[in-house]
Amino acid sequence: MAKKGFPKAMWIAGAVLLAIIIAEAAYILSVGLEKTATVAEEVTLVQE
Amino acid sequence: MGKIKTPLSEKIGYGFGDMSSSMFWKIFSYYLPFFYSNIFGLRLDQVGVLLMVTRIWDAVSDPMMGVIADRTRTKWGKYRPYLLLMAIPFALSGVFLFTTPAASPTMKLVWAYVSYIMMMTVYTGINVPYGAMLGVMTDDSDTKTVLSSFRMFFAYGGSFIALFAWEPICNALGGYSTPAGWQHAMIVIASMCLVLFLLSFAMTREKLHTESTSSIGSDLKSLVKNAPWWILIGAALCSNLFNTVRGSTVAYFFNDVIGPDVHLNLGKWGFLFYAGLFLSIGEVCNMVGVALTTPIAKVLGKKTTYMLSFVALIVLSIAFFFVPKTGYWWMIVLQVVISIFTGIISPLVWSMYADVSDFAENRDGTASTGLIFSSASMAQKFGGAFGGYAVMALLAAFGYNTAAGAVQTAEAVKGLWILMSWVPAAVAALAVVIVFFYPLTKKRMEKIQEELAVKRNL
Repeated sequence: MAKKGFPKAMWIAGAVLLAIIIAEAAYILSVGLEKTATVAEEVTLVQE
Repeated sequence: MGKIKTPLSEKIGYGFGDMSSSMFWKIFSYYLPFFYSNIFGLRLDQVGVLLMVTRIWDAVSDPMMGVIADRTRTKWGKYRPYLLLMAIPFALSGVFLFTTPAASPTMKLVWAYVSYIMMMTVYTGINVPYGAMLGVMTDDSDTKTVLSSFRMFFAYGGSFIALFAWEPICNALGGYSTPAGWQHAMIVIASMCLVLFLLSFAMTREKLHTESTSSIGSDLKSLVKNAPWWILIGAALCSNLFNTVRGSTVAYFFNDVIGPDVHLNLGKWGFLFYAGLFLSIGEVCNMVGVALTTPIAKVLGKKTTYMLSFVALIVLSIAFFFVPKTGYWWMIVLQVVISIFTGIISPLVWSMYADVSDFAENRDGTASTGLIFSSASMAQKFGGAFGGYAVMALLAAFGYNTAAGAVQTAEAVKGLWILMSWVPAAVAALAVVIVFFYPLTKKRMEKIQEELAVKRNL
């Protein structure tokens, strides 16, 4: 009979996923959100 | 005949799970390339490589998650806990995926890789256990078919809702052409998915306790020597490629060929002709096709049905090229018929895999159904990975301009028409050629079934 609970790989993967989610949230909070599409701005700049 | 009872609420609960997954999956498949190139601000070549890398990761991570889930033992069962555990990461990853950070192009590219790979990982983390759960919810083969039907029905329902509503929600919450509109729309969809997964967890139960004992080695040996399996893998790759190429072109086609303000009149009613409407019409017609599969395949056999469907898809796809720019109704008619045929093909492929499994069991004495099916889903995902990349590469080759409000050159516009017609037609032609060599005809399968019936009774 196999061991009860989650396998070790699951705990490791879960910890990595959680760390990435926290890092993503922190990054977005620190840099903020794009308001308009950047490509459009770049194209305007090039045209000017 | 099984002894386990499955109430209606449990069937609906099981359906909710795939309803949620499909809402996400369809939005990724149809809108994500467009989002990355036209809203988020990546170059087409960057989008192409990104789609390929993440989808290949998605394909190879499936069996890994299968192994993890098989070895899980909790009071809620093996697979069901993942519906609860992964629901919140799933919703959060979706929102991050459609979030455009105010950062340098390099950091944005990094963000796109991290958030998309994260999303695919979490998607696999919830979807693989969800699929496997079917095997432990009941011991009755007929109930499994009923649960699968509920799953399929709710999946199409979810796809329909998501595609139909996506652009209107974007427009209502900030604009279809702004990053904020896309992020807010995803918050709405992700919240719905979160609720659906939690409901699915609460409404279902695992009732069987299984231990996997088969040897992976002997199953693999049997698989590589299985010629029909190789042919079918090629055919499944083609059918996925067909859907991916058409599907991921639609958002571009509507943006640059149809335009944003085309209204059609149906009697007294006028309605906006937009990509989501075109795609959701396709979803409904897919359902019709799925319903037609069994009766047609019973008469013609699976191989013939598959080949004839793809011959029809070649003709219909080429016909799309000759529709005039304002022939909107013709486009709808072609979308209806094409989607009915693709609807016929999708369950057919899965059912042909089951035949391949019987063929293997009859010849080698090993069923390896699990391996055959997980390899099939891997092949499908590779088809999607390559298809996504090919569309981006072709768009770039046709000189498609991703800038917001850009006017496309005549060559780029023609390229979009070709991507909606000649390219899928070529893929369909390849599928016909491959399946021509598929040896498991109706007659051959009847013989195999007879032999297997004798062997299984021994």
